[in-house]
Amino acid sequence: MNVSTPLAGKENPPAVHSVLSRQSIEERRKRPVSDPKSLVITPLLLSPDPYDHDSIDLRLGSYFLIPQSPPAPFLDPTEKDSSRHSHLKVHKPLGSYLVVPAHQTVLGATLEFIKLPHDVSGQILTTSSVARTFLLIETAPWIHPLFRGCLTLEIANVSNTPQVLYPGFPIGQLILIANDHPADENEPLSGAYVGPIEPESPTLRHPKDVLREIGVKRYRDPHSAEWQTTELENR
Amino acid sequence: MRPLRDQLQREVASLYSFVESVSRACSPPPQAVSYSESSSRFFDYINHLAESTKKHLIGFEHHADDDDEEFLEARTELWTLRAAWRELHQFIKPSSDADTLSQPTAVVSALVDRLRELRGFGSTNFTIFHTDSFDYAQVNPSATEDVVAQLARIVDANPFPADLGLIGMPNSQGNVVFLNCLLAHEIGEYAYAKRDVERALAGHATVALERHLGLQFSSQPLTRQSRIRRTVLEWAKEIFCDLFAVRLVGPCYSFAYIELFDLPNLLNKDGGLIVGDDAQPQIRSYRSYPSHPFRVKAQSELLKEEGWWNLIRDLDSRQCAVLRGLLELNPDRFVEAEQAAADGRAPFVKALFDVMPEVKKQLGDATDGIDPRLHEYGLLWKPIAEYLRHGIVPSTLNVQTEPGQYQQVHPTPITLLNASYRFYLEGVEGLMSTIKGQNLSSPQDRGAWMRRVENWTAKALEDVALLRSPLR
Repeated sequence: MNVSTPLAGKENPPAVHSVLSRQSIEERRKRPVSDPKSLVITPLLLSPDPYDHDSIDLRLGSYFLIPQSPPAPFLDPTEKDSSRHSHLKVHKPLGSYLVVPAHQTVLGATLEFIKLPHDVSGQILTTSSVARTFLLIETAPWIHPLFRGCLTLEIANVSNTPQVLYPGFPIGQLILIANDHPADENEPLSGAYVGPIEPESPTLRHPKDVLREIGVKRYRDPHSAEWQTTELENR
Repeated sequence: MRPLRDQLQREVASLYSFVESVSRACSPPPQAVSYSESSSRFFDYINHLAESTKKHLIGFEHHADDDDEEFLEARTELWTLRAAWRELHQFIKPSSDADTLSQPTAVVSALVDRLRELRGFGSTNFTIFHTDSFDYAQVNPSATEDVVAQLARIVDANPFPADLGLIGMPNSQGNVVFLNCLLAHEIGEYAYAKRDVERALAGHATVALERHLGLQFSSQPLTRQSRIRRTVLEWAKEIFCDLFAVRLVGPCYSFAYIELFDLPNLLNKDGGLIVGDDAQPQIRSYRSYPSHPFRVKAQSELLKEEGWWNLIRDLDSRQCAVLRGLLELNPDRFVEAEQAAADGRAPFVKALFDVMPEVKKQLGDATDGIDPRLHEYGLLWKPIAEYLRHGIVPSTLNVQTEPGQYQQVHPTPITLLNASYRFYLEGVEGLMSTIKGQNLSSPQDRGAWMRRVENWTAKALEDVALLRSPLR
């Protein structure tokens, strides 16, 4: 249904945020990769049909990060490798499964590798049938334009029962939303998470650096609990 | 002194414990570990063999008594059983270390599928095990089968699966993609043994040695002749397996070979080939295999014969300069280098040249009918490079068929490996230029994106296995 707005009929009306339909998604998937409006979803298994009118089903990939106790007493933002040591990487080939204990969260990723157009954002939602088993996948569901990679899923089993995850099963729905102003396709991509094919440990930033950026002059060191300066040492 | 029967029973128990401890590595893995189908099959077989051995040992007391002859027979049997398990021991734990996270699963699957295109190898598979060695290793299938067959006969177990090979890979190379194209050589060794190529080459080696060594060879006793012939046959086997690998996977094998053995060191700063005494690695052959330059020259000649050379000759990499330099090198230089060293290997090199036509014939028979995928590579290497330059897994490509018209295609694994390796050699700078804050002269930054290209290639190999599956 068309809705008239006060701006209708004027020059250069702002584009309306809209959810991409199946037709738009298919049309964008056919564009050459050099076209900033192109969308990549691979492997998109077309049987059974992954499309709904306004979304695409995504499947669970084979790699997981399972939380484990790090050698340090806590996940330490002042130690570069701390986050890497707080997970155990696991591979479950198609056909095998992973058990997620009750009330535990694991990191997974979609089977599909995605590249979003420069004028489209995305959101991933738990499929309703998965959600009804008390599994949630989307604590960070928003996907920015030009993102490329397999989507990291924070899979939380919030039920009282251990649950079995089979890689290859549909787990989420991708919703694509057109933006009113496209991102600059010539802008260099941000390097931290470009093109992951499996869940990756977070890149922790030192509190000294993050707090200095906003003008905070001191912070408490988590090892000693003593106050430290955020000033650069060579100053 | 305790009765002999009791002492023997103690030795039976010791062997029982040994078998139990060796086979323990094949127990069901913990939740965090998964194995490929071929590894699981290997472990299932070892478990079956272990159970049969233990069952046999439980009933063993019935065979032993104080009679001398019976005792000797029983003791020899224990010796044979322990020797067989000692042989198996070297593969079991290293195989359990090679779970799906610690081996290049996607590459192995692609190579196995490729092998299965060949006549006689339709159901072949390989169990990967880790080695401490720098080199890849293939376990001679007939040797394993013989050892296990003897054990299986005694304990009344099934024979070792005839279509299962064992390949050892350096434990440091578990999750890389491109260097593991070298696994194709080990698959070649499997084919060499299964097809008994050595038998076909032996006569040619004898004639060649008679020609180049004369009485030095023909006047020797047969056992000595056999030892002399072994050198040429070992060299010929290495060449056969290299060429088999090139036919199986194309130039990515040669790129990996040149990389692993650091052969760009053969080039001077202008890209010219160094072939003098100061060349490293040396141009002269080794005792059990021909020199690296000799082997790569043979590969480059096959790449030219097959038509690959025209498609890769403009590759902007020192890898390609090594291939070009060796392609243009006069083969007499290998003989001259041996003559200058005066340690008597020149006739062997000449004999190897004589045997090469038969090596090529055997190669042709073994790989008859295989499509090198040249045409596909010619069409798709640029689109694949473009996807990688955009940081995208190249498993679904939109390829222009005519102006404004695009078709979606899924490349085959062989094209993916060759095109992605090409990008890995010459395109990483282009990729890094699209990413914020990357320093081309930082080995860390460059290494990170080289790893990403490998990851995207591995992912694409997994994807196309699904997208091209005949079950879909």
